[in-house]
Amino acid sequence: MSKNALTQVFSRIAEQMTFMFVEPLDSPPPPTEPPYMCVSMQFIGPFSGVLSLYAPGDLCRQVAMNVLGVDDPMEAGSHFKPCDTMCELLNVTCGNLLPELAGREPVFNLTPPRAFEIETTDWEAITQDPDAQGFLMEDFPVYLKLIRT
Amino acid sequence: MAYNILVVDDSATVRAVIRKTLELAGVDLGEFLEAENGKEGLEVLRKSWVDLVFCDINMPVMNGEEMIRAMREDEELRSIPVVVVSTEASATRIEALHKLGVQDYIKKPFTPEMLRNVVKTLLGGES
Repeated sequence: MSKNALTQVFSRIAEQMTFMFVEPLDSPPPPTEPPYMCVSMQFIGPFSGVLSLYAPGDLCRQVAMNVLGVDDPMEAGSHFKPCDTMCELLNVTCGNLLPELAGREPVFNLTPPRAFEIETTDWEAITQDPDAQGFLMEDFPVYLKLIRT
Repeated sequence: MAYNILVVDDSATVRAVIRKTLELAGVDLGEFLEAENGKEGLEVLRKSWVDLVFCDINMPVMNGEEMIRAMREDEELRSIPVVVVSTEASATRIEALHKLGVQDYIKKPFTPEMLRNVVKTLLGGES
């Protein structure tokens, strides 16, 4: 149920926000280059947990350009912050996912998302984690993992 | 007529997207003011003339609900319309925000039409 909801919500939100075609990834990911990023946030409410998003840096840059509607990062100036854009993508995904899981009445408190770089070994581990859901955003792999605590 | 609009959101991306969306929607922007949290938002409001505030809820330092509460307790700021733009859309939270005097609530992700309609409804005139 959680994984189905996550797949549907992330596909819808990512397509609306980034104008990129998104589809579930059920096979090994296409090759990518480091750096790799993880964005993570907590939610606290009737049930609590952590939602994390893992992506190659190249995808983060592409997402930021699409969301800001620019062809060149220079056009966006100081607002071009790929990690910040990925945090917002995760934030909106989480905010839309929780009502799907818990209904519209319960109140959840969300912590602001934080982004950090991960090692290539951590990226490889997440691509093989059965609890993580993979997606292809155009040609880039991205993974989401929901952990209930 | 040009409107001075303040966007309070901890995401630089969201602030930039709201600005671009308002421009694309044909809203006549005067000053476009930005703040990263509720505390900064209150400082901007006390220094500048603002016609409308777009405000997130989930922010560090001072969240949106605390900022709106402080605005409503301040005689000079209480009449400024506030629109919450947030991912958090539980019925309970929205009802609490309306009790605080929030004029409208836009759930992320938003469209240009949503922002344009809110500006038109709250500030009047052709935007």
